[in-house]
Parts: sequence; C-alpha cells; structure tokens
Amino acid sequence: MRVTVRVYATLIRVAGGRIHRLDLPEGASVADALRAVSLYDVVTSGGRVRRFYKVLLNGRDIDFVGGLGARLGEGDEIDVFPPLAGG
Amino acid sequence: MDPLRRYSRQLPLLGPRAQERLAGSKVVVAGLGGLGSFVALELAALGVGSLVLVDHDTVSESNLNRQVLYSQADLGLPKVYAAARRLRELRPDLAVSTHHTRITTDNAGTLIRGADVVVDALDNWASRLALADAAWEAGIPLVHGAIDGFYGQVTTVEPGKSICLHCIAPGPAPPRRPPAIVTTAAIVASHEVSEVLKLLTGAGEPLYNKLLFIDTREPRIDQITLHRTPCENCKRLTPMKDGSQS
Repeated sequence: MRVTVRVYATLIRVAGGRIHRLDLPEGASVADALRAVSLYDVVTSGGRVRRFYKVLLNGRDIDFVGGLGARLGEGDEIDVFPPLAGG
Repeated sequence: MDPLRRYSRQLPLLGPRAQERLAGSKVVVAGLGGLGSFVALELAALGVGSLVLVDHDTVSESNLNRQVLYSQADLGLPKVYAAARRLRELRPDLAVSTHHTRITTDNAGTLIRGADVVVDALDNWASRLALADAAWEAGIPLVHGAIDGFYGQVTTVEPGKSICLHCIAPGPAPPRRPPAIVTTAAIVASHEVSEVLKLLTGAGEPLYNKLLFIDTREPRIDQITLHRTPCENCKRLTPMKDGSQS
C-alpha cells in the first residue's frame, strides 16, 4: 500500500526530507506512517498529536478522522506541519 | 491627486472598474507588526479607499528590523498612530481609522463592522480566533497570515466557501517569541494582499481550502489542500456552496 507523507518547515530536517513515498503493509495506520519518517516521537505525546503540530490525512485534521490509529488506504496523503503563529 | 496617473501602471492589469472597487472598499488590518506593516502599505499603494488599523502595541527598537511603517522617531508611539501618519503621507486621500487596543471576543465584532475584508496579521492565536469568529459571524472574508523565522502561511476563510480558521488552529503553544525577519514578512504579507485584491475585485480564485506554506529560504511554496472537519465551529457553519455539510 503506497502512501505519501509531506512534511514542512523545521520538521523537514527531522524527517530527512520533504516528501516521503512509503510502501506500508495493509492495515497500517497514521502512526505507522509517522514512525516510518521518524516523526512519531516528535509530533505525538501520550498517543495524541502534540498541541502545536497538525497532522492532516487527505486534508483533514486526524483528530476528526480516527486519530493516530486511523487506517490508511492506497494513495492516502498525510501532511505534517507546525502551524505558525507570529506576525 | 490624479487617480489615472497614480494608478496608470496597474490599470492595464486591473482595469478601471476594479480600481474603483478598491477605492470604494474598507479593509481591516489587524496587527501592525511585521506582516501588518507591509499589508497596510501595500493596500494603501494599491488604492484601497479605507483602512481600519488595529494594534495594542507601541513602537520599539526591536521592531525596526522588519516593521517598515515606522522610523526611529516613532519609538514609544502607539503603532496605530505612527502607521496612520505614514500611510497618509503615502496616500493623502486614504481614509484611516485607528484602534489602539488588543483584539478580544468582546470587541472584535465592533472593530470589523462594515468591512469588506479582514486581514489577520496578528501574532497570537487567541486574538486571531476572536477576530476570525467575528468575521465568520458577520460573513466577512478573512485573510489569515502567520510567520515564524523563514516560514510563513496564508489562507482565506469565508462562510459557505471554505473551512474555518479553527480547522487549522493549533492548541495553546508554550510561550515563545519566534524569530522574525523582514524578508519573510514581506513575502507573506504580499500573498495576503494578493488575496485581498482577489476578494475585492473578483479576479482570480482566493485560497479557499488551501493553505499556502511558504519556505523563503529555498525558496518554495506548497499548497496544502484542506477539507472541512466536524470541528465545533464548523458545526455552526452555513452549508458549503456545493451542498456538503460537516
């Protein structure tokens, strides 16, 4: 099952790249994809996305579509970014 | 002032009707820091007729690396007053109203009353969401921008046409003063003003349901496609024009 993880800003360095095309086993979750790009421990805490990061699954905040345990499907796209605050 | 001469270089791009629409428009600039300085200057230069400036802060020396509305002589002055004076120098015909106050849920609705577009150039999400909620309730489009170091983001939200700002709002962040540089502020502010131009003239597609994520160092601009979620705020939304519900 192929999925794409796109990361932004300071997370690019942590993940070792901006766009990651992954081949994951059937039944893999958002958490598995984040582990595969070395971001799980950075953007999550206690089984949830940390407050100051956003993880979108196909353009929707994962908090509303099953959280870190949400099952992935063929062609799914994940965006991981730190929403900015300054002006 | 001769409008035909002043705007002669952009009239071929916009046309006289769009220029007239700009002249008849009122835009709120919320926050007059790095982003808001450029936003206000560009809106004035474009020919927007009326600006409402809102900021609670005073000019300090550490602002002057990027907040191009102010000069050394403005140190200690409320930003709204220094900004209004500078903008009137650029555009004597500009109507400017100033509000030296912090934006809260209590005053946001009053501050934006009668505006055609609200521009978020704020530096914190509490005020940002108060502003966005008021704009949403009033049916006024809001252009959101934020920066941190070499990165910036821009999107446009409007009831019935896009996600709401809560859909991308982070939770409370630890207190932190992000690094800020003039180059990022200029680029991100210009994208915000481009959004205002599209909204006011109807030319071009605003960044509805798209988050522009800008990396000024590479440089690179990504568009993250956004979809509505059943967030608490979206539950109060009017249906999208395509009929979809949260």
